[in-house]
Amino acid sequence: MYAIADIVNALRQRWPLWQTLDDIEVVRRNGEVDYTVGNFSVVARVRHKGFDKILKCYTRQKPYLKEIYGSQFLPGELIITDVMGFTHSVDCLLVDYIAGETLDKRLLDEACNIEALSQAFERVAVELLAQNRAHGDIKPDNIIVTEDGELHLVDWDACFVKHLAGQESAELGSSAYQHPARSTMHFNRHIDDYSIAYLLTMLRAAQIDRTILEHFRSFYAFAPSPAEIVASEGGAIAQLTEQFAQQGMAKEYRLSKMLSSHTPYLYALTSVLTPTIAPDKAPFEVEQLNGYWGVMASKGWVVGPFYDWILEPFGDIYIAGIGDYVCINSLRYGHLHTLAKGSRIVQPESEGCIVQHASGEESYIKYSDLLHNFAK
Amino acid sequence: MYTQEITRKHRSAILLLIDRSASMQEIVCMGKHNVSKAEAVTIIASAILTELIDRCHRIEGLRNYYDVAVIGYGNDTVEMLLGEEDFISIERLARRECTSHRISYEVELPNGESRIVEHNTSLWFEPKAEGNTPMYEALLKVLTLVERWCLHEQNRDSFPPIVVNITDGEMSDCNPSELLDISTIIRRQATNDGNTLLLNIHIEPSVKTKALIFPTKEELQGASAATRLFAEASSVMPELFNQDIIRLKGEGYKPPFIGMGYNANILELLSIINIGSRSGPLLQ
Repeated sequence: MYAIADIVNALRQRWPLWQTLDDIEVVRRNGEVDYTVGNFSVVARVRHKGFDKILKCYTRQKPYLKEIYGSQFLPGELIITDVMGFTHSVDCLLVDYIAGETLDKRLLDEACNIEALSQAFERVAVELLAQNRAHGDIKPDNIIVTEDGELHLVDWDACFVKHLAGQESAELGSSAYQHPARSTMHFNRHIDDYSIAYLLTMLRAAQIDRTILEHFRSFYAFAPSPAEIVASEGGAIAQLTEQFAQQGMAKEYRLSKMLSSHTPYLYALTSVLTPTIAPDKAPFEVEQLNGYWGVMASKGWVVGPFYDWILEPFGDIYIAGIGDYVCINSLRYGHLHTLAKGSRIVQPESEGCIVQHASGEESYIKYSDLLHNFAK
Repeated sequence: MYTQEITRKHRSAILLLIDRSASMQEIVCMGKHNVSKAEAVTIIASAILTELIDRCHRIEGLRNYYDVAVIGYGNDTVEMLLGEEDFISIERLARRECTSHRISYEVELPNGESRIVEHNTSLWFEPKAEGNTPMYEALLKVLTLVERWCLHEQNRDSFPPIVVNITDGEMSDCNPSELLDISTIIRRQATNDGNTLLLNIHIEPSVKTKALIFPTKEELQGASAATRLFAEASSVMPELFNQDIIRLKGEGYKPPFIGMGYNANILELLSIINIGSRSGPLLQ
């Protein structure tokens, strides 16, 4: 293993000692090497053949880097001298530089737009889940937020690619974002399932509960942790799940329920995160996937398969149940109203519905009133 | 046990205990040059402290992953060498002034060319070598620091402290039984994640005497009384360190390993401290 100072010392030399690289310049900030320290690595900014790049110098040898990075991986590239005067050749990685700040840092900013960040993360997650590879270490530290508000995953050292099928994972990712049962035996395209569900749930939770981000800013981690959620069989997150149901956040409700899974693999995750289409063309039909209900049009899901039950839409309006709650929603505008716990729909009609409350009393809810209130 | 990740919420503690008695004036080979044992240990201990600071270096600044302390003992004196009477955070350590130790090496490149390379090390304290070896007194100080750290509410669930004692000789202020007693009490200080780890390293410049590095019980059979004393005073290394120890010793060795080095040369000292200070997989 190599000392970080020895690697920085080598980069600091007027002419660093490279095995193969030429036309490379180490970027300096205030006269010093512009570097940061990562997972068993020193990460420095460089310019290579005129392009901004990141040079990652490993403090120890790590497996699978050639399979993951291909020609970007440069074994034994940088020659360093240690405190004894002995030389060593350090493995390096040369990749494109992504300008931005980590999601970790962005979340510390009280003015951050959490809604936009969570939507951007969902886009990244959907794209990743569609690929035959997995990142392996998803956490805010490994996500860069660029100027346009988009998110980009970095540090793919724990990645699974198809060439590594059948191997054991060399790394397990940060436990603060991993299922507690994840082991080195879990090494396939599903190793990001839990991290994605957990981080997305927390980002969405932060939109309705201020204490989520307050805790993150104090302790640099979300609460409850995956270990706490799984050990309590969902008890630790029950209040949050209830809040999602109360607010008609059906996708988030389903995600939070997944977090108490006994295994790291969440097979329903992809269906819950399936992108939906605009409700432009009837007919719409209720459909089921993985035991949950949504609304489909001919070209795809208009409402994802999130609900425990769902009634056939009345035009734009549909009534559905999640947990102990009944929601009245619009295909076009989303959630309109959640009935109080213990209430039930007695008679759904095309213009409104009769609701029986927990007290036994009945009332009539007119859909147009809900739409009017929503428009306000 | 010994599974707690090192985070900003759950810091770890590393304490270096350094012999500064007169015998540390002896000259040893440190890689490509000769220095006194005192200088060699100072350079290596300082390199470890710098490494700990560097491990905490992130885009947004330093993250406080470690509390550190260095205790020097010699000439009837036990002193804290980082300017404070307790552990200090990495942030505070990084703000301290240090001197620069600069050496130039001639390096031969793979293509046969030679290049002069300058190596800089920050020195966080000055080397010293005088007087006797008040090791017991120093260990009492260690006990105070470690006990207080483990009892602190913030540290209750943290990875327990790692104490590394570097010496070249025998203690002058206690007998073996007293040394074992105080070592045992130190090792009993615990967090919810495990007991304090105490590593004892004896450095010896002679190339004739075979070193014992992280020995197994089998390797200690037939060892001298002094070696066995060191072993009894040291912790058994947790499983987390086994892979690195086997990489250092060779594939034929099987755990458990004792956290000690005896008759270690300077290179071996560096290897032991590197492994002992590294809870790499746990650092998030």
